Formats: sequence, C-alpha cells, structure tokens
Amino acid sequence: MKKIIKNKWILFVILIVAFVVLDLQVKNAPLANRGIVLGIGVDRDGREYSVTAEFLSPSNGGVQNYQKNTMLLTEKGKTLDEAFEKMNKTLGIRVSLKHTVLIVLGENIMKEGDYAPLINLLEGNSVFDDTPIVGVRGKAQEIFNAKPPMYTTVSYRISETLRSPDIEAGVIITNVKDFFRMITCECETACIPLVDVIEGGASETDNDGNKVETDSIELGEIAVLKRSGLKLVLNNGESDGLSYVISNVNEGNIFIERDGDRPPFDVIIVDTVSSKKFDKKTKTYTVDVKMWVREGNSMETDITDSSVKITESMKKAVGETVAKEIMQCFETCKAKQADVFDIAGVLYKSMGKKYKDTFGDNYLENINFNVSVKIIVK
Amino acid sequence: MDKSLFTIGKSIYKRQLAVILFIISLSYKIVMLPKYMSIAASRDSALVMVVMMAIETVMFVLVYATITRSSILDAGFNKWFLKAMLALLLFSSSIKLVALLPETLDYISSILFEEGKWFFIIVSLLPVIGYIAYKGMNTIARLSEIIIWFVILAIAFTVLFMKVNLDFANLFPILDDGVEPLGNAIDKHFLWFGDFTPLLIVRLAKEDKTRFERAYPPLSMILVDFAVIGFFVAFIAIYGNVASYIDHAFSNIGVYNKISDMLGGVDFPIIIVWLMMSIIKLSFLLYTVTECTAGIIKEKMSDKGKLIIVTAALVIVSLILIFAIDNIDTSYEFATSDIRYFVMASEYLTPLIAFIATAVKFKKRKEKVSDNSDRKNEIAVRQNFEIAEVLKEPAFGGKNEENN
Repeated sequence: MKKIIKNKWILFVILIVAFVVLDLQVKNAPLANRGIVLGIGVDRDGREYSVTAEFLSPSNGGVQNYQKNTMLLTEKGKTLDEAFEKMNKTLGIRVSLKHTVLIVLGENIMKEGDYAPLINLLEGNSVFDDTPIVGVRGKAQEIFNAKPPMYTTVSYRISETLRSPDIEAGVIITNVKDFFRMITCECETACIPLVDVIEGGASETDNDGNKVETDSIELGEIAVLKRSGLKLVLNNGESDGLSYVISNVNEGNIFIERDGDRPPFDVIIVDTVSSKKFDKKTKTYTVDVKMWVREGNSMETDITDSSVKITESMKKAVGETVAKEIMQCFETCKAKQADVFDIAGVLYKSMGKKYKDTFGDNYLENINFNVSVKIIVK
Repeated sequence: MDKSLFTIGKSIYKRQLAVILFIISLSYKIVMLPKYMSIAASRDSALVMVVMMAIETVMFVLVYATITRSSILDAGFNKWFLKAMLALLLFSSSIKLVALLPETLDYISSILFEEGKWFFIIVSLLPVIGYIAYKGMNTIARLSEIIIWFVILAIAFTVLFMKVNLDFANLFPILDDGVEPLGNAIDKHFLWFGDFTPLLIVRLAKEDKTRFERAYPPLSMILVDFAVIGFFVAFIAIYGNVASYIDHAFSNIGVYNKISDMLGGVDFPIIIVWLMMSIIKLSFLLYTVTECTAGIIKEKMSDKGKLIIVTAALVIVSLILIFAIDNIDTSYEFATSDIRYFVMASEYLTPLIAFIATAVKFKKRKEKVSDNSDRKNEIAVRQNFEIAEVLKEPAFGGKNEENN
C-alpha cells in the first residue's frame, strides 16, 4: 500500500513538473498582452489591403471610459493575415479576433467586389459567423475616427444597433454568414447597411458636468452588392421597402401625407412578418407582408376624441405606402439586375435548375412581381 | 447509493450501453462531417445522413442482438476465428482513432485556444484518453453516465435560447443534381460511420435492474438517429449554401443564442460538452484497440500487459500525429483515402459475421442443453419406473405372505 501511495505521489510530482515545463514552452499571451479587436475595417489600397483594427486594451484597467481604453492601428498586407501579423509586431502584443463585433467594408472593396478577406475570416474561423458587416462611403478606416457616445466605442455603438431586438424600418442586419449565403446563392445579391457619421451631431454631459461633443453614428441607406461589386445604394424609402420584406421590423413610424384637407398622420410599427411565394401558372412572385401597427404620436396629440382610432381608410393608406416602397425597391434593383428579394432562390427551390430554361438570365424582367400588404391594428 | 455507480464486474448495464452508444455515435458526426458532407452533397447532405443512419440502425440491431447473447470475447468461438475478428476490430478502430483524433486537436487548437500548438494538446490529451481506456469499459460507462447530463443540459440550453433564422427552404430542391453527389458523399465518408462495431467486445450484465432496461439501447438508437438527422437539417437551414465553409458545426451553431449575444461569441457549455463526448469516444476506440491487441496476443492478459499496450498505442498515435498527420487537412486526406474501403469492409462485415456466429453457437448450445435435459429426463423416467417396479414388489416378501 505504501508503495502505491509513494508511486502516486511521484507520478503527481512528475505531472506537475511536466505541465510547468510545457507551459513555459508555449508562447502564452496573458490577457494584458492581447490586443482584443472589437472592429475591423478593410480598405483596398492598390494591390494591398489596408486593415484598420479597433483594439480594446485592458492594460489601463478599471476605467469605465472605453474611449480611453481603445486604440486604432492600421497596417497593410497582401492578405488580412499579413496585415494582422504586422500588427502583432508593431504592438508587441497578440491580436485576438474572437471578440470582433463589427466588420466595416470600405467603398473601394465594395466597388471591386473583393470578398476574399471576408472568406478568409469565415473559413479560418477567425471571427464568428454572426459578426455583423456594414459598409461605408469612403474609407472604412475613417469610421473608426468618429467620436462615439461616452462609455462606448465605435464598433460597440454600431453593433449594438444591429444586434438590438428592436429593428427600425430601413435597417437590415447582415452578418458574415448571411452575406456569403446571399452572394453565393442563385440571386448572387447581398445587401449591407451603410454607416454615416454626422460630426458633432450629438452632445453629452460627463460625470464632472462638462459638455462633451460626440458624433452621431447612423445607419441609413443600404448598399446592394453583387459578385461583381457594388451595384447601387438604396435611398431611404427603398431601404424601408427592403427592410419590410427581409427584416422583422418592429420599430419606427410610417408617416402618411393625405390629399385635400385631411391632416397627415403616422402609425407606429409594432411587428412585421413577410413571406414569399411563386405561382408557376401565372409566373407571379408575390411578397406577402403582414404589419401590426398602433396609433402614432401625431394621432394621440392631434385627436382629442379618444374614440377615433386607425380607420379602414388609414389602414389602406398605410398599406399602399408600404407596398409602394417595396415596389420602388424592386424596380430600382431590377434596373441594375440586382435580385434583393432572392427571387432566383425561390424559383430554384420550387422548380430546380429548370427555372433558368424557363425564365433565362433575365428572370427579373420575365416574372410578375406582386406585393400584398395586410395592416393589422394592435 | 446506486449500485450502477460501480457497475458489476467487467460488464455494463444496458442503461449504460444506451448512453455510450448515444455519445459515440453523435460526437464526430456533428463537428467536421457537416462541412465535408456539404462539400460533397450540398443541401442533400441531410438526405445522405438519413441513408447512413438507417444503415447504422441496422448495424446496431445486429450488434445489440449479438451482445445480448454474449460478448464475442466470451462466446466460446474457435480461438483463431476469434483472433481474426479481433484483428478486424483492431484494424478499423486504430485507423479511426488516428483519423478522428485530429478533429479534436483542431477543435481545441482553434476554438478553445487561439492557434494552440498540436504538440502540447497531444501531450495533455492523450494521457487522459489512455488512462480512461486502461481503466476499461466500466470507467467509460460511468463517465458517460455522468457527462450525459451535461450534454442534455447544454443542448437544452442552446435550443431554449436559440436566436437564429431557420430557413428550411434551404433544403430544397431535393436531389436536383441527381443521386451521384449522394453516392460520392457516402463513398467518401465511411470512416465517420460504423461506430457500433467495437461494441461487440462489450460484456452486458445478464440481469436487468428494471423492466425497461432492455428497451434503453433501442430508444437511445432512435434518439441518436433523430439527433444526427435533426442536426444536419438545422445546419443546412441555418447556413444554406455556405455550409461548406463552416468548420466545427456544433460550436458554430451554439453561437446563435441570446446568451452569446450578451457574453460574446463563445458558447462554453457547447464547447466543453463536445470535448467530453470526444474524449469518451476516443477512449472507447483506444480501449477497443487495447482489448483486441490483448486478445490476439494472449487469452488472458494481465493489467500490466494492457498498460504496456495502451502506452505503446499512445506513443505510436502521438508520433503519427506529430510527424505524419499534423493538420486537419492531412487527416481528411487520410480518412478519405483508399484505406476507408478496408475499414468499411471490416466494420460492416464484423457485426454480420459475429451475429451469425453467435446465433449458430447459441443454437448448438441450446440443442446440447436440450439433448442433455432429454437424456436427464429419460434417466429420471427410467429411475422412476424402476422405483415404481420396486415399490410394486412386496417388501420383505410381503406379497408372498399375503398370497399365503
């Protein structure tokens, strides 16, 4: 028995020594020596990629002001990996991408349709495939120079909006996985939100009572990309139309201007559900949108009579506006051969490859596009 | 305390078998295989899994029917016949061990650590697997019973808090490219199937703890069929045409939940649970390698002998993984090389041969037993008759006295 106990202790000591020795052999990077990347901006600069990373550095520790704890670094490389390797050397710390919450594509990357860096990120498991992607007019690098609201960073600010369960009209959420799913599917079209920075667009008061000017970061238009690159940018109305179909919009208002003496009114969107179907006989592709709404602020303030609610004619007007915006979006995209509603996907799923023989490459011209909107008052 | 905590001797309960078969069948079908299947069969990969799981179910029926009679080790087969079967099992299990281990190493090195070095993972992981395999089937069974609760909790947790759009339309159109991709997918990935063959060496407890004990393994088989096919359906519904880009499917799907949204993109319950399942599966394969080697060398191998076999196997596997199959791509090339046909032949034929051989053996044994009992009956009847005859005769010549 003593012998066994003795042997066990010897084994235990050997294991401890072995693990300590092995640990010394591994190039471990403690948390303080890791550059935790929150956001990645990718631009094209000649033949190279210009990669900007927003780092969260825990080395300052304890301060609740993220702005002081973040830093920006831009490096160039023929691949993303090369650029990140350069960052490792420049900073002397290890770049860690697993906590990336945002990927920003610069305008030139979008125009050229150069998605190789994104494929690298997806295939290499460097970032998680639910990381949102946004685009920007100009350089992606510039977006990270914006002054975000206090106690947050540019990447967090944008990703919070995109990850929020409340989706406003005109906002779509595209993550790495969805981007590739759409760009490689039959429709070959992916949409990403564009980010705008309005300098000095907001101000806040810090703990000491000082007024701090910050920039307003907004998601407005939507960029439509094909495999060959950026095709068009949807305006606000068209973006709204697209969001009603591909996002479950549950926030935002719809303003209705009416003819004659009838005052304008607005409704608040509570929820939206959409479905798509294709009728082979009539060659009609139908988008069904069900939208739940309630009285908007203008109705509550302007109408004193509480019995006045959303009337049938108001519902009809809202439905027509929604249908018009969806139709507008379709027509604009059709002109550029961009299939934002994944019509090809629906045709393929119902007819298989035969759909190409029936409708040809110009299928958007050869089908009837129909929108049906049902407004329900909640 | 529950008696099953300690199991009984070298045998395991049917309830434990149910848990083991669930773990060993599920573990390596939900990590890299979804990606490989998607490359080969695209959206029809779920259909491939339906076909393969049907074959797996048939194999399970054969294996279960065999081991409920007896483990092949105790069936009383001819010595050389048994050794031949053990050699087949040894071959397939060794190849699978070498081909599947890199998946775990890659999983740890890319999901659990960032760019973790394989060498250090091998050094820390393989002794654990070796120790469990050396301790034997009871330890594997008991460990499985413990971790199954974590598996259930992690899966329930993921499903409950799931936040993802499942687009089942991604599964259509079915067989748009014909059946050829299906055939290719099945042909290339045999190594990820045939998980139940090594169970032939498992000794099942003769007595059942409850009335339902016998039903647990078949129920578990049905459950694993649904789990695997359901997982593939969900995988295609989530990823669609990008499924072929997605490594480590199980951990990637786990990211799509509300908790990950708050804590960041790492779903530790899923990561840890899969690691536990993979350790059980690898330990079981190594246990099979050890038992089969021991059985081929000597009829009854001492514990010391088995320790030497485990150690030697670990050293060989480590050297292969360090010098030959040192990344996941090489491991895939190895697993899909022509060697898969030999593995397939041994994995699919062994249960059939074992089933027939055990059935024949037990039929003969039954006949022998009934022959013996007939003979005994005859003897008993004859003895009774003789006794009766004796009883008819007057004791101490009483009859004669009466007559007189």
